[in-house]
Amino acid sequence: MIGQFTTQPAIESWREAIALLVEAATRGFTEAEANPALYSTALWADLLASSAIDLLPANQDHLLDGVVLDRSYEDLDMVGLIRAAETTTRRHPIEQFPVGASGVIVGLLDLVRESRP
Amino acid sequence: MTIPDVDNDQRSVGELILDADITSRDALWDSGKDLAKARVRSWGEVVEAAADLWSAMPDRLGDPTMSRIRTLSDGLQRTQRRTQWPGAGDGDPHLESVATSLGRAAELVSAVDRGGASRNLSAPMPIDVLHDAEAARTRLMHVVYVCAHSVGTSLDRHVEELRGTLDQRKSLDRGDSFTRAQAARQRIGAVERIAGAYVGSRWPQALTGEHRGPVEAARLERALARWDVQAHRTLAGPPTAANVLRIVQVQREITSAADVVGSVAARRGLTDLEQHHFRTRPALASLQQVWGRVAADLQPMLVRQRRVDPALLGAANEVHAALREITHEGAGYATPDDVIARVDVLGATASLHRALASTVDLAHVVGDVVADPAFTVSARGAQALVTAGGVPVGNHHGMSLADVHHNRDIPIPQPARVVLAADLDQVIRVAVAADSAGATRPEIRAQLDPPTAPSGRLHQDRALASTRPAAAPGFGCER
Repeated sequence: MIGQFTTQPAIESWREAIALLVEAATRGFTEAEANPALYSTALWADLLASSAIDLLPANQDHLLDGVVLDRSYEDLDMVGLIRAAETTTRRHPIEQFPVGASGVIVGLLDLVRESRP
Repeated sequence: MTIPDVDNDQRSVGELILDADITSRDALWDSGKDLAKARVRSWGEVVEAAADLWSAMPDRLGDPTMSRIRTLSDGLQRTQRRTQWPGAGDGDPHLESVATSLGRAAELVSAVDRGGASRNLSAPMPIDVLHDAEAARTRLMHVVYVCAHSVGTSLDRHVEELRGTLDQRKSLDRGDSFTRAQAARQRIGAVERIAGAYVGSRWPQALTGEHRGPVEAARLERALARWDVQAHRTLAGPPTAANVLRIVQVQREITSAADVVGSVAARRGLTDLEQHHFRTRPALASLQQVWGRVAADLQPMLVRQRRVDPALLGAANEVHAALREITHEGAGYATPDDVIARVDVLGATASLHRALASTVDLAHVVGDVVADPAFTVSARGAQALVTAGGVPVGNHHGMSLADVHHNRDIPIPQPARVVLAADLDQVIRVAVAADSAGATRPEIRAQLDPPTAPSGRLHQDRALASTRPAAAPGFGCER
């Protein structure tokens, strides 16, 4: 594991996972209006997104806004999107992600477990 | 989870470790307390297989990490044999599958070695072999890290359950031991930290929301103090919308936690119930609402760009984890009994209200940042705001098509800046009102009365307050 992504598909999957986490957080903040307990989980997803962004090359943040999520994600709620983000990180072996990815992935797995209704 | 058919297993070494990785992640989806002892039983097999594979792979640097992990695991196994805990029983299917895959990979690597010339470790190895070995080592240590975490989280729940049983002065089930489970948790936690350091995990505890066990009394106070200092420090640096949004979101969570923990304290008669119900709680609700409005107005202007000052992110992760371990159980709030079992409720309430005392100042500083001409947002976010009608058409304030195409950071459109400034003025007004309502100074009854359930003598309780030293006037109360 080194300090950068080793393949283009790996960095694209990482960006997709970030986009899913941001979307999960956004929907979670909305869901929290009816169920305030969900706010903490939504914030956790957003914090993980920031941690994942921190592993991206610094000059490529703008590419995140260009990630187009599959339409199948449109109907998912916060929990479904968090699970989708975790699944996305499984597409590549860990060594294709930069140093620090293990911690984000374990954090994401904890979030999956703790966000279950 | 792959069910290995050892006799007919055609997977390569890389595929076997990859399967182990995926299976270890599956294990983390579930950390039920009933799994703890089964996972502890299987943990030794995982480490043994991982260590065998590690030592079979080329390693010119002689990295000692796996040896340390093996030593710690062997020590834990000796203790288990001596103490008969967790005792005989089934292992964990996920961890057993991981051990089988890694064991098979070790056999394959060793067989290649046996089939070729004896390996001369001092001779230069082809670069692709070294790269492959490095990749495999990373993959392997990641598996150990994830497995250690899954054993640890299961033990956390198990220990918590045992503690609850003991706190109720009930006896534990036959074969259960609080002391041994807790000791195993600590020892596996050490392995998790060593493996985590190898794979370069940052903020491991905070990121994973690690919690349970007795909540460390000083953690919340320390996390809140660090957050307050870091938020001010970050806001003194280059002004970015991502930093501001993160601060706003965390302030809202602190306010929400103050409500949750404060409610428990009031219901248990530790603080003035009437004061909490009629003044503090509505004030905290208003404060959450106005922070939420700032976030909602800011968020579309960031789209997905959430890169924040790493120091701020570290402080945010820590304060989030410190709050969540008190207030939450899974996706929902913890029960009042759980909150009381986890933390000194009165101390936590006081810490949270002290943290809220700086809300007015923080809102002023955020207002200054938003007013700074250098305050930027993403061009696409600004465009989205325009498209959504948040900014008058044609009033693009320096936003060009090229800015949007490249999604550059641009100065926030003036109308959006005005909206945010108004939001923040509202935060300041509500925070001042909250302070006046005593939301930053809980009326602590414990100094006067023993903690008892509310008796309904609320008026008398209030009347007693006059015997206390007069509190300093809150913001907005000065005459």
